[in-house]
Amino acid sequence: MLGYVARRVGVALVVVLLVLIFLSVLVHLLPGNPVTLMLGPRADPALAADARRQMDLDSSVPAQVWHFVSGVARGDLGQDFLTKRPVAGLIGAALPHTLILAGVSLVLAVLIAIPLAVVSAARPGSALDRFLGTVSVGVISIPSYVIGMLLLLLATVWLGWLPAIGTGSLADPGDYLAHLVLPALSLALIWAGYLARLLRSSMLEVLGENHVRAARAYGVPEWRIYYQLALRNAIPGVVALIGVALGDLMGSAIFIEVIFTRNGLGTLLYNAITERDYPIVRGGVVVIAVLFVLANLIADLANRVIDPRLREEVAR
Amino acid sequence: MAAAEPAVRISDLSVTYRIDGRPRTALHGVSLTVADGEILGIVGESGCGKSTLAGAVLRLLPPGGAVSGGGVTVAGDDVYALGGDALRRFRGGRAAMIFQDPFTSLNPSFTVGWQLGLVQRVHDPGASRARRRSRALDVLGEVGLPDPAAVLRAYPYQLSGGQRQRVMIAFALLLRPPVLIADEPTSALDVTTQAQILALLRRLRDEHGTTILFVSHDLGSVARLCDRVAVMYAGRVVETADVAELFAAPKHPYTRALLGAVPSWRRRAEELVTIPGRPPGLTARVDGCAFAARCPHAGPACVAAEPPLVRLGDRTVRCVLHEETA
Amino acid sequence: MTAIAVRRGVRVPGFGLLRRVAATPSGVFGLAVVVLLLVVAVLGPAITPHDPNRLDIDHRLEGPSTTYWLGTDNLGRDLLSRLMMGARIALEIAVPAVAIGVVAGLLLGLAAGYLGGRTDTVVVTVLDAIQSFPAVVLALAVLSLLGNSRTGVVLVIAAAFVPSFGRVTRASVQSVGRRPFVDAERNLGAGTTRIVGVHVLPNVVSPLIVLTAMNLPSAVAVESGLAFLGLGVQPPTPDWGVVLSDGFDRIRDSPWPVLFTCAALAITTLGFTFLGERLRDVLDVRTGEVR
Repeated sequence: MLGYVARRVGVALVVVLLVLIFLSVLVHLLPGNPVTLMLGPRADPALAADARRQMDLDSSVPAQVWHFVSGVARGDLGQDFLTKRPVAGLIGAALPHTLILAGVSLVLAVLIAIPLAVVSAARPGSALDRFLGTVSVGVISIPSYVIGMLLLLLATVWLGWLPAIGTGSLADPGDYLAHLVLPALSLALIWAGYLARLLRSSMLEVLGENHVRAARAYGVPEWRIYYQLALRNAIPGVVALIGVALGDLMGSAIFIEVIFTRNGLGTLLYNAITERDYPIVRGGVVVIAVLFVLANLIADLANRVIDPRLREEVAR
Repeated sequence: MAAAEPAVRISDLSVTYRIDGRPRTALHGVSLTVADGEILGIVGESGCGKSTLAGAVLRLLPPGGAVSGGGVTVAGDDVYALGGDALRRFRGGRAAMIFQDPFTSLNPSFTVGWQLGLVQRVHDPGASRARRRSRALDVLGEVGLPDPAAVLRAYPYQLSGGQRQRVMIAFALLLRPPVLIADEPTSALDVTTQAQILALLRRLRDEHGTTILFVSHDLGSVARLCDRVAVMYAGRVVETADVAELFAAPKHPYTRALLGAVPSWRRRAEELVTIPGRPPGLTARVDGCAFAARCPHAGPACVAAEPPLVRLGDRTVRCVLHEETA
Repeated sequence: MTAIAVRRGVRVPGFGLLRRVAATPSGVFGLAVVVLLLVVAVLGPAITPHDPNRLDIDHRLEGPSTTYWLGTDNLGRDLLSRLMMGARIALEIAVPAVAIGVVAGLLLGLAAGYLGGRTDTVVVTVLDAIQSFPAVVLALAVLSLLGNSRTGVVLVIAAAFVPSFGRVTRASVQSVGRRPFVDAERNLGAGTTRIVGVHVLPNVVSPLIVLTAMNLPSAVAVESGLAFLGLGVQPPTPDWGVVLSDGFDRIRDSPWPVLFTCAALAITTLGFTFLGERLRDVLDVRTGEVR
């Protein structure tokens, strides 16, 4: 088990390192003058010279990679072009909002998915099951920003419902939560549909197994069989996906934050793109990639702990 | 009180599976009674309806299966008339099943202790934690597990096949049900463990008067454990008799073929059964005797109409030739 | 994270395919949407009711009318014409992106599955590394430098799709390679080209068709999303993402542009997805796809 953890952590570190190297040489990989790429052809010469210095472009390429990677290791993501503030600080201020959004969305998705999956798995092939299946495929395929836009239209323009835009203040949790509802729902629906499908099929698999018949034979009531026994067996499959889900949610959160004018990493990146402030974009991408790798690592290790069947494999 | 009801009475039970929308009959009017404290063996080739019969006693048919005639009573109560709650209390409480495959019949995601506790909580919500635990430890000890406390903490994968089968039996004993249905409880185990499990079942009957339906294709186990035997073929009972009588003087040609295929009781039937031909499938339409097609003695009378189950003293046989072959 | 296995031997899609796809309501819906989209995209400017870039200052942000069926945007441009042109742009980006993804994935998958050994390890590691980036984030990193490059968008989306196609191909090659008749032929001296052409490729076709149908809507979604953020296709080109962004800026004045653009995106992605699901059932391909 310990060997497995060490190997898994090693792989994660290598992936992060590769990502950092890729990002530090990206300006050189693309055709064209790096400064023109970053600031556009009509950039102010003073700003261009400044950018050259800030991006460390006068060093050799290996030195650039080293400076960037070691900087990231120290928590230094560079400075932004326009206001000279440290990028790490900007991201640090924005990140909690995005993490809360992604986390709440994921929880919401699981809470929506579980009853849908149970209802579907209880009567596979029924009209309700087929209907829920079609709806799930529907919400999975529609982009999250389309769902976000439609929810925004529905809530604000037609219903005059909830404070739909802005972030609210963390000092006032009720207000913050009210602002969180629509964005979180927009992000959650896709994963709710996806998890519902996944849970349904793994529950169906479990429900056909002998130990479920055995539980019935000892008088265990049906609700316990579905919600306690079958669901418990299906959960490792969901946990394995949570890493992927969090990464995907962080990506989609960019759109959702812009649509609902929420503070967060996505809005920070959007503004940086508009202002061609490349260090911020690069820093944001680094943070998202690292979080993604980390989430996958944690999900994988958590699964080893949760699922006795996987422990069995490791033990062998 | 009037004449005591038998522990289990199966009367004219028919079970039909719906496969691809079409009915397929798996049990054709099976009637059997099991007296209090009796161990009845049910034998036959795979696919003859043994496991369906075992499940039907607990009203536990696989999806698509349904009783299409007759019924089952346990201690006089109609199993198929029990309401939801009463049925749940009945299952495990008054009749319990020991399953065939110890490797898949325990939930892999929970410890043995948790799973035993769940069954106890369901049947006796008022019991204290300590009482549940001591009962679980008792039962695990009773089935011959040397370190019950360790087994309680274990996940199924941490136990050997024999240990898991003992745990399965512990589940069945947990609530002290007067009736046990053992569906091929030893077929997945090695010979030594098999013998220990059989001894355990016999002791249960001897000490607690438990009634046992012992389903098996292993004639050796049946000969050692059972009081009486019912032989099944193609969803029908073809012969019942006291175990010694059946092995000494089988009446039905199918029984003789089964026994003939087992020169030694100590060997496993499945390795040696060499009756030519195969039993009719669920779809086949059988007019006369179901065994006629494979029977060396079959004559015109055999295909004309299905022979009735004829009572001969305290045994029964379903064969037109029973007098000649007796 | 895609695992596709062909269940029943080789089955190359034939002429009866369309009829079987159209045997269910969702199949009909998928086919209809995709055909409509193709017709609109191909005929493009010839059938739009108005010039998609013509301004009509007197009729800005109007709702649907007999002149402007879906209404007009903030500059008085006809929304229907812009969305019709948008369909063409969406496919102009999504189709080459997916095509490049298929070809690159096919080659990498063939190399990994057929050669095995170290090649296999390297290819799988590279595919894993690409997948360790969410597609949108990879696109952000590259496009924030490239800005309005349409080629850049195509290449970035293609790169994001290579892993799924690569894995499918690799899995198919491995499953074919283990079959006895392939070994037998190899022993008889059949060349690599023959084995790949006769046994491997036909097996890969079905899963790749399904995966293509499933990935096209993702390509459209990513492309429009990037344009919405101001990356890739730029205004005034009537890309759906651009139209959405224009509409979003004035959402309080008129909900119609946002509503109809969202409808176009939703119907397109739904159509391709239902078609893909139907194809998967008809072609009997098992997917264990995890986006």
